[in-house]
Amino acid sequence: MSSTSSEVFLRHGVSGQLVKAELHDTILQRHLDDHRDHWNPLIVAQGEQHGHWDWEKKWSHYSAQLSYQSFAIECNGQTQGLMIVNTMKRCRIRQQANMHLVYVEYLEAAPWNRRDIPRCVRYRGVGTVLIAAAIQLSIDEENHGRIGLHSLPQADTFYRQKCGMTDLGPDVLYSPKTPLRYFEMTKAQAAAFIQ
Amino acid sequence: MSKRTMTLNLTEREMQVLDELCAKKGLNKTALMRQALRLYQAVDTRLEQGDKLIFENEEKKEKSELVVL
Repeated sequence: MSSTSSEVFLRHGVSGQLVKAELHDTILQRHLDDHRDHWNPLIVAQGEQHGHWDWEKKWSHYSAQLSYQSFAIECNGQTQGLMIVNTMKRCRIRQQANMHLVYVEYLEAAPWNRRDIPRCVRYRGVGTVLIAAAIQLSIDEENHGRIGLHSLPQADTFYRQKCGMTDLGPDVLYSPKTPLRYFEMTKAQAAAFIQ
Repeated sequence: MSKRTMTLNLTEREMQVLDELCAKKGLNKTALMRQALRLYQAVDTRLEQGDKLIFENEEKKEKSELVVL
């Protein structure tokens, strides 16, 4: 599978300088290899909430379906973030109910880029770039920047405060045992985020 | 991702439905046809796996299977 890439910027975790990175419009085998060889040992060691995410398995399942698209960020020759989105889901907020949106199925930053892990962050802004990519895809799909997602608890504040998404609360239908909160972004919120 | 262009021939009735759905969903014709293709593929994949396509109305407590040939 081939991909096209565009230039994006991350922020160096120590110096604070902007660093050039590449946003790929599909996940390639080398991104999956990076996850297996470099991310996974750290994730498993830390026993994280999404330590069970097997991207190779996920992407082999989703890649054949037109309704799913994927993105990867590379910087300094290594994969820094991965995302799979679904373009067939619909909005829940009353004023845009039943309109199409881009639903973020999975979004993960490399373990060395995670702010909630108490150690030196290598690159900042991975989640922000991936959310911006989801919004841009939503605009390209005529969905006006509308996106939605279920958030893992450690990311709730990021989606609520940094992204400015509407928090629709725990969704028991999505995950009855440990309900994840559902967040949705309106056209106006998307425009504010992109600015 | 690169895109390719094709010409689509529709009857007047089909075009009318397409226009109505585009207006209802706020999509242009290309975006709507792409959504339709994704849905068709998703349904076809699930049916091939032996799944059924069920519609449920919680208020009326009704469930009906959409038979896709």
